[in-house]
Amino acid sequence: MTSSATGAAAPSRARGDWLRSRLRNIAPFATLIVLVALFSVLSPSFPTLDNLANILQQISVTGIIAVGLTFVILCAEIDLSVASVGNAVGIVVAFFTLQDSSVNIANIPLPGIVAIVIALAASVLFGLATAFGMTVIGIPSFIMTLAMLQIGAGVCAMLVRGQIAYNVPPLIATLGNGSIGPVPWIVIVAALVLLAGHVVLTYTRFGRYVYMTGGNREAAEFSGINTRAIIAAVMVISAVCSGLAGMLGVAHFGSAQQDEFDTYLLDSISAVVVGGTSLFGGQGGIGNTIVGLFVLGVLNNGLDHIRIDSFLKILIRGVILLLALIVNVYAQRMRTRAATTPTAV
Amino acid sequence: MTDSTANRRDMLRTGAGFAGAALLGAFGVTPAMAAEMTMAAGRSDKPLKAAFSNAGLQATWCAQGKQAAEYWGKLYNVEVTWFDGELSATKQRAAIDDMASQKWDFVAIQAFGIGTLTAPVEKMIKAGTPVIDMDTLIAPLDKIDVHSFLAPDNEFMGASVTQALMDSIGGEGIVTMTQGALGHTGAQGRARGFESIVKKYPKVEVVDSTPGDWDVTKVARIWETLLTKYPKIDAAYFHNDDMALAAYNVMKAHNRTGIKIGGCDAMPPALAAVSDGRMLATVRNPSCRIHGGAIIAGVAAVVSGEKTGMGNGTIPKNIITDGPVVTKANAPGMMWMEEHFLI
Repeated sequence: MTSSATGAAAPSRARGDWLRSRLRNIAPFATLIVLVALFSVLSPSFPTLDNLANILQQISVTGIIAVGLTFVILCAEIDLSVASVGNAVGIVVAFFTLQDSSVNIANIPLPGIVAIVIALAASVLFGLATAFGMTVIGIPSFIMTLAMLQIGAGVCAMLVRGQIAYNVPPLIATLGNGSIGPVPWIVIVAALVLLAGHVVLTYTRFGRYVYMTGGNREAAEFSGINTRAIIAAVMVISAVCSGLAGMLGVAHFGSAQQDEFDTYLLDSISAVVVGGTSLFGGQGGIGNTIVGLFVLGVLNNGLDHIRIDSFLKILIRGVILLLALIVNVYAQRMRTRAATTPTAV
Repeated sequence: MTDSTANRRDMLRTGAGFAGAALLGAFGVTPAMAAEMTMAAGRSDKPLKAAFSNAGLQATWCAQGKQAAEYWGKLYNVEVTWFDGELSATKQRAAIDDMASQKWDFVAIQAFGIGTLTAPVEKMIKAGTPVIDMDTLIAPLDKIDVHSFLAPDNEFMGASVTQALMDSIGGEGIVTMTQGALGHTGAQGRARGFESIVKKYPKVEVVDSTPGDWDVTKVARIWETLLTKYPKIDAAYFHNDDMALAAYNVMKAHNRTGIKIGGCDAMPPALAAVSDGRMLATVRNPSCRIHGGAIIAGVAAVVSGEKTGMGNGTIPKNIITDGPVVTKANAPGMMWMEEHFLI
C-alpha cells in the first residue's frame, strides 16, 4: 500500500469513526427529519403552524416527566412510578381545590397556593420514599419504583374513589390550559424545565456527578462521589418533575381521574431512550430527550393526519420505536468496540 | 382513460337508477316519489368527510361501532376517518387535538373520560363543525354545545337485566354485581339501575359489588375469591358481557355453572352464550344504532341543515337509544340485526 493511498484512507476512516461515535445522536435526528418530510408530503394538514402548536402541546407533559427520567436513566437506574406519581399529585391538587357540587368527592378545599404547595410536597415525599428504599434499604430501582407505582395508583383511588374532579387552582389552570398570545403556557413551562435540566446536567458539578455515577459507579465512588446521595437526588428530581407534569396535565386535560396518565410511563421512557440516552447510563442528555420527544410527537401526530387503517397505526408506531432502539443498542456496541480497539499507528 | 372509467361508472349508475326505478315501480312507487324518498333519506350528492373517535378499538363494542359507522357511511356517501382513543384519556385527547386541526363536515365522538376532550371539541364547534356525542358525555350537556347526544339509558339497562335475574331466582337469594370502572358514567348508571331493582326484594342479599374495571383478568381474580368465599351464589350481574363471560369460565372451572348470569351490551359472543344457556340474559347497548345514528345525524346537519331543537325538522339534544333485554327467545333475531348493523 502506498503512502498516498494510506493518506487518503485516513480521513475517510476518521470520518467513519466520527460517524460511528455520533450515531446515537445522529440516528434519532435523522429519523425525525425523515418523519417530518414523509408526513409533510403525505398530508397537507401536517406542515401547518396550527399543527406544530398541537405537537408542542402534546409533548409538553411527557417532556416535563422525561426531564426527571433523563436524570434517572443517566444514572443507569429506572423509574417506573413517573406516571402514577404524576397522576397522584394531579389528583392531590384537585382534591384540595373547591369542586362543583355535582362532584361526589369528599375533598378538602383550600386556597390555591396552599393546594399547590401540598401537591409539590407530596411529590417530594414520593421521591424521598423511593430514594430511601433504593439507597438506605438497597431495593433495586426497578422493584422499588414498581412498588411506588402501586402506591401512587392507590393514592389516586383513595382520593377520588372512582369519581372525577375537574377544578384546579387558577394558577395551575392558567399554566396547564392558558396561553400568552398564541403560545400555550404548558409549552413554555415544558421548555423551561427542559432548559433547567440541560443547564444542571451540562454546567454544574452535580450534573457531572450524575454522568459519572451512571458511567462507572465504582470509579465514581473511588473518586469520592457519594453516589447514593446522587441517586437519591435524581429520584426526588424525577418525582418532582412528574408531580409538576401531573398538576399541569390535570389542568390541560380538564379532569383528574384514576389511571388517567398510564400511557405516560412508556411514552416518557421511550422519549428518553429513542432520543439516544443510553439505558446503561452515563451517555445522552436533555438534547437527546428533546429529539426523542419530537420523534414520538411527530410520529403520533402524523399518523393521525394520513389516511391509514387505525389498527395499523399502533403496529407502525411499535416498529419505528423498535428500529430506534436497535440503532441505540448498535451505537452502544460500536462505541464500546471503538474504545477497546487499539489505535493504529 | 379516466374519462372512460367515469363514463362506465356513470352508465352503471344510470343503469342502477333504472333498475331501482323499475324495482320501486313494481312496488307502486313513482320516480317522483323515489326522488323524494332519496331526499328524505338525505344521502349526500358529494362525498362528505367525517371524523369519528370512540373509546378504543380494543373493545369489541367500539370495533363493532366502527364497522357500523363505515357501513352507514358508505350508504350515505360519507368518508369516515377514524381516530382511535386506544382506551386512554390522554391518547384520545391527542387524537382529538389532531382531529380539530383538520377540516371535517361533521364529527362524532365517544369520550373515554368525561371532561378530557372539552377544549378541542369546543374549538370544532366554534369553527361550525357539527359534533355528535356518542354514548358517553364529552362534558355535561349544559356546558358544551354538541349537536346531539346519542346514548342509551344505562340505568334502564342495569334495571332491566337485574329484573330478569330477580325473576329467575324468585326474588330471593345471594347476588353479586361486578362493576365496570367506577368513574365511567355508564357503569354508574348501570349500578343505579341494579340497586333500584334489588331494593324491592328484601330477601335478596348483595354480597359483593367489587369493580372489575372492564378488565377480564381482574374479574377472573375477583371471581376466584368470590367462589371460594361464598358456597352459594344465586345470581350475578356484570356491567358488560366480556366480564360476564370471563367470570363464567371461572365458574365452570369451579363447577358452579348454576349461577344465573346477567350481562350488558349484547355483543355476539354474549348472544351465543344466552342462546346456549351459559348466560341468562343481557341487554343491548346498541353500538350500531349509536354509530350509524351519528352518521345520519351528521349528514342531516350538513345536507339539510338540521338544527338542534324539539320541533319538526330538528334533532333533539339528547336521544335515548335503548336496546331490549335479550334472552333465549330473541337472541337469534338480535344477532341478525347486529350482523346488518341495525342495532
